[in-house]
Amino acid sequence: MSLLEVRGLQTHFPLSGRWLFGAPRGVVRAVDGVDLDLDPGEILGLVGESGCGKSTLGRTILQLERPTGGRVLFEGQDLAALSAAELRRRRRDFQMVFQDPYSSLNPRRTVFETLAEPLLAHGLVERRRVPAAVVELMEQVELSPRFVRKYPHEFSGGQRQRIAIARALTVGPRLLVADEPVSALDVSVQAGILNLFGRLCRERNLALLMVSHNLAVVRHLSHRIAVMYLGRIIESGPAAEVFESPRHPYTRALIQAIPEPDPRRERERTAPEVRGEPPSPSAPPPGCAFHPRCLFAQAQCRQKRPECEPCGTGRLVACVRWREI
Amino acid sequence: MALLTVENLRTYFHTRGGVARAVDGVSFAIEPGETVGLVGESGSGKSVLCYSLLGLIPMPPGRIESGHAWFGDGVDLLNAPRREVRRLLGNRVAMVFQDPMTALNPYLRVGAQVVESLIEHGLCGKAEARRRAVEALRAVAIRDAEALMEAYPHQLSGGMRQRVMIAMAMVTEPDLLIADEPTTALDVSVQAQILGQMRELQSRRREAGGAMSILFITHDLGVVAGLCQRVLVMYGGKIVESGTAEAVYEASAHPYTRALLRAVPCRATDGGELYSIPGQPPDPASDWEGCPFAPRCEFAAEVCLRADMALREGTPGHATACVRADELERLDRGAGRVVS
Repeated sequence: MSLLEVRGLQTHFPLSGRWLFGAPRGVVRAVDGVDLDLDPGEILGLVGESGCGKSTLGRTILQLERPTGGRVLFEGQDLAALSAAELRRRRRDFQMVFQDPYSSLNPRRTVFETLAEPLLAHGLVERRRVPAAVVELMEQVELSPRFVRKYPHEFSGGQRQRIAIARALTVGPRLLVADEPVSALDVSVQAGILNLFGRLCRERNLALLMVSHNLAVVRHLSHRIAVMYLGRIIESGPAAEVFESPRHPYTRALIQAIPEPDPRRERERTAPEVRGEPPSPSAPPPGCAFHPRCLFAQAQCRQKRPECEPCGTGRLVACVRWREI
Repeated sequence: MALLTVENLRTYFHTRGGVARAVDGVSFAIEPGETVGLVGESGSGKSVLCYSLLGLIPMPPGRIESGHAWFGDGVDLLNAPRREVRRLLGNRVAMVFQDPMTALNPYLRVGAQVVESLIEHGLCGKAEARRRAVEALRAVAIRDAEALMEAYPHQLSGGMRQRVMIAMAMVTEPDLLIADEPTTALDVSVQAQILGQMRELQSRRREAGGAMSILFITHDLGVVAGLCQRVLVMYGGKIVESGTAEAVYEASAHPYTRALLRAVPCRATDGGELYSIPGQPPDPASDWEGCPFAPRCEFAAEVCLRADMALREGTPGHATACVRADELERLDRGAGRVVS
């Protein structure tokens, strides 16, 4: 059985204000019918551009946003159905690492205080055993325990992200959701954080949902990739296969658009396979949401929204023309 | 003759915590029509360098300690009278900033912002300025340019705003465009379109018998590879390597450049450990001697701690500040890596 099963998940946000005469102004369909599975120890990369709903999906899975439809099953238990108290206890099993380590840590707490609080709050460690537990956590994320009394501002971005990861690990979760965990960091420190995630998942059999706009980062770390566009997953499958032979025109365009550090190849670069910019999720285009930007769009793409269909072992794609492309 | 020649530029910030040597003795030149990439991580001094050229450094705490920046037929952007420099900025030298959300004036319509430099520099009349503004917007693939002139920045998407920024910079047909991370805030699919358009604008100028040089500042080695003929790599306020894109990427002559290239996750990388550079970039406010990369460099030796950081040409046009550059191939092989 999967550790996490997401079925038909929807997160809609009502737009504030009303039109004249009282009709509501409509909803933003940030997440609009998403199915996902995640096994223990598996790393799933969730990619998409800004506004596609990938962060909202991650937050909804962890119940930081309450879903407006569908189910999130964690070990078969529907998280949306839990009471606040039950959910709080359950949160030990799934934790989040945020994008910006400059704002996600409390600036007035030392590393020790940040890491000790969850241990005590959940009663995981006896009070006198806390210092040893904190040291162990710091070693896990390759931070020197010498820094235990320091404040966040004394650390660099990469070190802060390690503290944030250590904080997520305090409660011994089995699922981590990391929302753009390296996009605020310099290239030279990014690699270290990615390696750390990889190692933690292997050693602790930890499942990771890694949300990112950077396909190259996701490809490197993930076993599977899911590509999201305007609230829906339009392609998913094993990372290497999706990268080698993308089926959806949007996935193709995204992969083609990655700039490579190779001057000879880059000079040969052809025109991008996508035009325009993502539409607003409050007014999605009819039919396939990608059709206005798609180079392969036909009349049928404008009429009917394609559902995900299998296109190879463990692969799904939501495009009616994937065979021809 | 070079379009811009920067000589020994030093920009320091005098703060309570000490003197931060943000740019510390930088020299380079840009030829007419050439695209030069300035690559570095945050804190390397790349943005301070271009703000210094444009007179945008807040003084105090900043101070340009030394240097010249000869532009065109001999105006020193750093030391000429303010009046003379202002004639060039926003006219012959234009700038595109990283964040189009904050660089555009939210109170003014797009049209008013695009025509501004034409009017301010007295380049043409109002009607002509409007015509040229619409043309500049069309040149960056804005289809409905006439209508867009009437829009306010908040009505536009991020990619659209950045296009407007580029049109604003291009409207005076500058000789030099300084672009500071112009695509960093954008999605990859939009980034690819905008980079393509910048290249196209440049070649169109060439076909019209003109030349536009671009100084492209970024931390993204991939973006630079496709766009730039020459690359300058900056670290700790200094240029540590310079050369053609091919030379810098394929035969890097500085351990920092080599390490950075190995750390980039790209299409080819898969699974396995990524190379990560140990340690942190230097704090510009701290005092150090010798090579700023030495504390993180796997090949650092005694000599690096007191090395002078002058660029030395190994092969013509390819210079490095590494004192052990000649030994790098051997050292790399010694570390068990196959050098391609």
